[in-house]
Amino acid sequence: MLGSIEHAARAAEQCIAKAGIDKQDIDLLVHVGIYREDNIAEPPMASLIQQRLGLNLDPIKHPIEKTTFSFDLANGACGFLYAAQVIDAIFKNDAIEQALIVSSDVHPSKKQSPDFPYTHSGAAVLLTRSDQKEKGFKNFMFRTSEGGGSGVEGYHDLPAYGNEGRKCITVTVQDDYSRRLQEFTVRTIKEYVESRLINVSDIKLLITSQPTQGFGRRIAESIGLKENSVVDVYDKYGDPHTSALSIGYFIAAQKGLFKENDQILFIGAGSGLTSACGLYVV
Amino acid sequence: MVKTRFESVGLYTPEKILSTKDLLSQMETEPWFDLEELTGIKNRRVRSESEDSYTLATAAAQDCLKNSRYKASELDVIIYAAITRYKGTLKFYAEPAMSLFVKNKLGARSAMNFEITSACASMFAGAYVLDNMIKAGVVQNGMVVSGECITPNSETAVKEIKDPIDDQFASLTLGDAGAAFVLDKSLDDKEGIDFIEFVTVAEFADLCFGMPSEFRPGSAMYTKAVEIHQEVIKRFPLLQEEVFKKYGKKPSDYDFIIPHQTSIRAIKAGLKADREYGKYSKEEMPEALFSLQEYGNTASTSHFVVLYKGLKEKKIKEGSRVGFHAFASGITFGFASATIGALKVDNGDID
Repeated sequence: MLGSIEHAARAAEQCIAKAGIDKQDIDLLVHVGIYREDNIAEPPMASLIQQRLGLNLDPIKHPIEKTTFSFDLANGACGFLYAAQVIDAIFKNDAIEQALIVSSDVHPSKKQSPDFPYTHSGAAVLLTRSDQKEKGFKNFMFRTSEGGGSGVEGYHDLPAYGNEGRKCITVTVQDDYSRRLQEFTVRTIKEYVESRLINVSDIKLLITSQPTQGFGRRIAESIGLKENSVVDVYDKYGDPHTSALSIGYFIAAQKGLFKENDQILFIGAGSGLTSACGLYVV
Repeated sequence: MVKTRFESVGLYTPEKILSTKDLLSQMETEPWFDLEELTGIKNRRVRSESEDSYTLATAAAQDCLKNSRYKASELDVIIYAAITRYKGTLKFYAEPAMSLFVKNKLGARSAMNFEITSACASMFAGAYVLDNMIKAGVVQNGMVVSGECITPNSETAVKEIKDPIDDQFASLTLGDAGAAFVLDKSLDDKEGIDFIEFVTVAEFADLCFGMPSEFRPGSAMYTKAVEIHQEVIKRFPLLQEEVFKKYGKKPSDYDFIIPHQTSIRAIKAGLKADREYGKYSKEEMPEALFSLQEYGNTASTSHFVVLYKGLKEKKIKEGSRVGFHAFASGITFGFASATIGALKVDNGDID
């Protein structure tokens, strides 16, 4: 059974091979997954993945100019977009050239459990700094709801698990989560497109978190996007949680759903309630 | 180029003081070495039953806001940067983000929020991210906050250590604390963060693990302390000198060094290794500051316990040039350099 390190690392290996880059050129490795094998709290999952990938492991053994910094950055299902915003800022300062966003979520026991609502998965996306100002992520917006509860809570409850602390996790979902999350996400997207002067009819693809079946389709309908703009992940994979946005992009790329200059709207939605928007120009 | 600065700092330390002597007396098999003599740690603060990462963090954040010109509603981003994420006592949260709980408690409705984790270097990793976000114009200001409820690891160690050599010994050095700081743009050259540089030497990512105990309901930390020390000493001078070279700095440019608070002996060995590597005289080396004698190793908050204490004692003042060394499981090395401005700490409870 594969754990959180292995899921993310295998995705990263595929990603690096596809990109055709020297992995030692990766300056930053950011892990946005939140459910990890054995409920490991330290070191950061990112450093264990960096170790597994053999990425600039030791300044004594590699040229000192090539180093990697790895850390975890998280905000539930929306983590990928927060990481993209942070990396975008670091790129703007000309501080680094390549950053890898990895993600993975597994039940701490490494066994898929009926009480664990997320599909064990891993994903990796390589971001490269670009001088082409009209391409890439144009802007982001992040919102959290006021009142009503967080919708989903996930934690390991040490006093409750006896000596099984490494193998247990508690994920509770409120009854009205799905409805509230959809309404909140639609409101957020409407605020986003209005404030950023985005023309919804220019959007080619909609890639969203996958909290429930058909979430992306319902969002598309609410904001006036055609159903064929939706990249669905849930029907085949269920909810891959923090990897959903990366997997959505991967599927779109595999199927040849976009070409240069197309606009992709990324929408994160999850616990908080939290909603994240990012417009990407291919 | 735009620099950011430490605009304000906040601290919260629990009231309960536990001495190393009293902690060790709870053990079935006391260590063969004198822990206090080896590390310099005489006392640490321990949370009360009703305290956890969330309460420590929010108390520190509120202290920080008292010392800040900003109101909570004026913060653009809140980053929760810690190892521990306990709320509701020992519930370790994966989602929602702790930064959301803190943001809501403070009333920082305009702030975007997320978590950063880099073990004991988490707060400086948060500073690295926030510094970049401000410089890129994404935000104007932000708060990095941490609530390290980490003595549950010591509780487990005390119960589980049976052998004279045990990977849980390092857990006996830990203390609880909450810390916070706000960054915004420097107004002039007189204060500001010169750089924050990080490297992860992932060859040794498996030398320290924090995870639930396998024998009882509790959290534990397993550290190959001797190996970590050896590997850190070999690489720290090389990495420090690379950073100095990149920014045209040297030890005599600083008034103080604030190292991660592990053990005085180990820290001094590291500083000596750097001095010898760089061929510096003893007089050129800045004074290293410590708080671990009374507070132990407070994980990601450690540098800010030292900074806060130094400000309260008026040892660190407006214009003080401070170098920071962050070390963390990973193994991550962080080097930061800052000139301190007029930081208020009138309301803090550190004594």
